[in-house]
Amino acid sequence: MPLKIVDDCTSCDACVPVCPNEAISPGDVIYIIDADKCTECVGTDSDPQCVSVCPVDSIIPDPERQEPREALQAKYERLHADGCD
Amino acid sequence: MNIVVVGGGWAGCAAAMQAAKQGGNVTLLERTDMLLGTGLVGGIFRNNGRFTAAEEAISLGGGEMFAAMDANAVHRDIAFPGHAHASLYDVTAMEPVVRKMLRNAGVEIHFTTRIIDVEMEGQRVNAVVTGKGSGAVRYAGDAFIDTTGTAGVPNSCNKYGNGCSMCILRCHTFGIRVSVAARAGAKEMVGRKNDRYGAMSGACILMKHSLAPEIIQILERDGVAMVPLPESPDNAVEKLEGKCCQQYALPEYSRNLILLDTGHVKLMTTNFPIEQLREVTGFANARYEDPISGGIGNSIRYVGMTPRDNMLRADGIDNLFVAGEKAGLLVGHTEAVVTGVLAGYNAVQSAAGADLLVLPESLAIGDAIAHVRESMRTEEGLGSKFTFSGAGYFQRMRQRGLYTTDVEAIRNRVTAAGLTNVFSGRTRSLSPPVASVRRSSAASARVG
Ligand SMILES: Cc1cc2nc3c(=O)[nH]c(=O)nc-3n(C[C@H](O)[C@H](O)[C@H](O)COP(=O)(O)OP(=O)(O)OC[C@H]3O[C@@H](n4cnc5c(N)ncnc54)[C@H](O)[C@@H]3O)c2cc1C
Ligand code: SF4
Ligand code: SF4
Repeated sequence: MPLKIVDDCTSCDACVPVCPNEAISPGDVIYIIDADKCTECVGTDSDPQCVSVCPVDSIIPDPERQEPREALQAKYERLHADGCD
Repeated sequence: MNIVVVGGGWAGCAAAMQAAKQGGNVTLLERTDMLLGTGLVGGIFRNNGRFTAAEEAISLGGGEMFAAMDANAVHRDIAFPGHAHASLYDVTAMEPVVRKMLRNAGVEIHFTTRIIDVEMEGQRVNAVVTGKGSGAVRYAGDAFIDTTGTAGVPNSCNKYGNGCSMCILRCHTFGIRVSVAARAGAKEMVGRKNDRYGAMSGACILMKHSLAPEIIQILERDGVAMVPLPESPDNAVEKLEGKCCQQYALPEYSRNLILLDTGHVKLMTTNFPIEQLREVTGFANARYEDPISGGIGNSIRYVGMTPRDNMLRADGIDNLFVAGEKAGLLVGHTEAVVTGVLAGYNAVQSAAGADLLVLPESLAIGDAIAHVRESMRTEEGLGSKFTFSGAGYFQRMRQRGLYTTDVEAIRNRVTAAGLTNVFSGRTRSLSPPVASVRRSSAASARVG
C-alpha cells in the first residue's frame, strides 16, 4: 500500500532525502507523496524510511490504494529499470 | 452565544476580549503554547498614526489591549527615523498579562489546539475541528473569528524566503498555520510585488546581554540606539528590497543598525548575517533571540488573506469574521487589535441576530479598513503594506486630516460619529446566562 502524508506535516523536508524513489516533494502547503512512485521502500529497505524520520508521524498508509507486496516490488523494479544499480 | 476565536495573536486576543465583554461565551484556540503570536517579538506601538488609532479605540470603548500595552511599556514617547512618539512594550512580560486579562474576562483558552478543518452547513460554519480521526476535538459555535494570521507556512518560508529561520511561530513544534477561512471555502489572496510573494518581517530580536554594555546603557536610557554600519552598500540594498514594511525603507535603515529596547533588543532589519553583524563595534558577541537563525532569514508573511467586507465578515461565509493580518495587508499590533475589536463585536451581533457595525471613514480605523479592502483588489495594492504608522497609509491619514495626537479632538471625532463607548459591552450582570452556559457548553466534544 503506498503511503500518504496527512495534515500534521510541518513541511520540514526530512523525508525527501531518505526516499529511495524520489517520490516525495513539497506540495502547496504540505509535502506530498507520488503514489505511483512510492513502494513503501519495498526493494531497498525493510521499513518505510520516511516514516522513520518524520518528526510528527504524519506519513500513513493510503487507505485508498491497496497494492500487494509483489506489486510494490514490481513497481520498484520498473522505476529503477534503467538505473545502473 | 458561543463565539469561537481561532488564533491567539493580538487580533484574536482583542476579538476574544470584545466578544466576552458583550456577553459572548468565548473560546479562544491557539496552536502554540503562548498568546500574542508575532506580538511576542514586536513591541512598537503609538508611533505616528498608531497613536490616533489607539486613542480612537479607547474612545470607542475598546481600549483594553492598549491599556495593557501602556501599563507594560518600557519606553514612552521616543523617536527613531521616520517615527515619532512611539511607545515600546516589554515583549518579555506582555503575554502573561494578556493571558490573565482574558481569563478574568471569562474567555476559555485552549493552547496547543490547532484547528485543521471546519464543518459547514451551506454558507455557515457549524464547528471547527482539530483533526479527522479519533481524538479529534470539535468546537461548535454560533459565530467564528479567524485570526490565524498570515505567517509561514514552512513551504512559503522555503519557497519565498530563505527557509525556516526558526521564528517564534515554531511551526515544526506545534504544526503549521491552517486558515479557517480557506477551509470554509474563502478564496484567499497573497501579497505580492512583481514576482515576489509574501514578505519577510522587518525586524529581528537580539539577546540584550550579547551586546556591549555601552550599547545596553544607551538603549535602556533612551529606548533607541543608532549604530553606524561600516561601508558595505551591496548588502544594504538587498536588505531594503526584502523589507516587509515600506515604512522602514529610509536610507537611515541601511546605513545604521537601528536598535530599540523592547526588553530584548529589536534590530530593525529583516535579517543580517551574524559574521557581518559581529564586525560592528559593540556587536562582537551578538546573538539572535528571534528568529533564532536571524542571520539567515526571517519568516514570510502575507500569504493567505481573506476577502471580506467592511464589517470584517468573510465573503460568502455568513458567520465567519476575520481580523489582523488575515483581514488584509494590515501590518502591526495596533492594526490587529483594532480590527480584532470590531470582529469580536460583529461576531456577537451576528450570533444575536443584531445589526453589524461598519466604522465610518471619519475615523482612521474605519477609513483604513475600507481603504485596505479597496486596495487589495488591485495589483498595486497587493504589493503594498498598510499601517497607521508609515508609508502610503500614514500619508493618506495626514492628507485626510485623520492623523492627530490631540486626544480631545479624537474623542470629539468619535462623539460626532455617535460611537462613543460603542464597544464598552453589556455589563456581565445584564447577561445572566453566561456563567451557566459556559459550564455546559465547552462547545467541545470528542469526535470519532
Ligand atoms: C519580527 C516581527 C516584529 C514585528 N514588530 C512589530 C512592532 O514592533 N510593532 C507592530 O505594530 N507590529 C510589529 N510586527 C507586526 C505584527 O506583529 C503583526 O502584524 C500583528 O501582531 C499580527 O497579529 P495577528 O493576530 O493578525 O497575527 P499573528 O500574530 O500571526 O497571530 C496568529 C496566531 O494564530 C495562531 N494560529 C495560526 N493558525 C492556527 C490554527 N489553525 N489553529 C489555532 N491557532 C492558529 C498562531 O499560532 C498565532 O498565534 C512585527 C512582526 C514580526 C514578525
Ligand atoms: S518528514 Fe513528515 S513533517 Fe517532514 S516533510 Fe516529510 S511528511 Fe512532512
Ligand atoms: S520561520 Fe517561522 S513561520 Fe517560517 S517555517 Fe520557520 S517557524 Fe514557521
